[in-house]
Amino acid sequence: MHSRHDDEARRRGVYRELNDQLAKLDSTFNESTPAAVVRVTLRCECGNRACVRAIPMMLSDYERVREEPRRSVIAPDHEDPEVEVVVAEDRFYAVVETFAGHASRIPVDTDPRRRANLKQAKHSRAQPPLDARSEGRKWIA
Amino acid sequence: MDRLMEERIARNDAAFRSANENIAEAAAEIHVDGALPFICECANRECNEIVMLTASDYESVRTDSRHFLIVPGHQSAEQNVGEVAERHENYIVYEKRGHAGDVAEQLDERAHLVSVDDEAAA
Repeated sequence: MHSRHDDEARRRGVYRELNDQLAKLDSTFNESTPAAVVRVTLRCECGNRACVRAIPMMLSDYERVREEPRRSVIAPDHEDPEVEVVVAEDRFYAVVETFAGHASRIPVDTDPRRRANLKQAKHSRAQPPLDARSEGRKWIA
Repeated sequence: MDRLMEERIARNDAAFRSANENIAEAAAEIHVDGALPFICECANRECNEIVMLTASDYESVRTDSRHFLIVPGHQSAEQNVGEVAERHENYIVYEKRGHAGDVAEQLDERAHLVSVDDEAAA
């Protein structure tokens, strides 16, 4: 049986993916601009089904949050003290970190950067070796 | 409108579509159901409006490579490179036509995946 915290942690995983995609789009569309001056509008990652609060932040600040899988960016006062602690605050957002234990395993498993790396690794394994490609041989992954 | 502009619009929309594909994929892998947050796929690069949609509703938009998910009112950013195909309560499905439609089709990753599968089955 899933607990409320597990369900919220999974929903957070989707919002973290959403934010990673929003950040990637802004990064792509502003590729000649340094991340420190690119402002992105993200969405609160609190996991509340009804929350889609917009969060303005600098791209470089967002990148720092994503370096740690147990961290999320949320609107001020949207933290859940039962599972997390605020580690940084700004006028527009707070950065929270889930406590160690079961609840913190889901954020790690659903980390968008980890998922992207796994996907990339899977994709690389599925590619035929260069010699097979150049010789036009059939190849089974 | 010149072909370059049509292509630019189609490429912008395809970038948003690719982002949404990753969101849908993440939701399926993480086992989250109900309404999911998708990004408006209009041609305005500054747009980051969110559309709440179930995975199955999103899938029905994706069945056609020329169809895009757009917030109502944002079709003006498309500069008449197509027309509204479906209207829903909180989103519209916009169909690209002409050169923009061709580019949208070429950039649809799913369409290429299908052709590889077809090739394997043949």
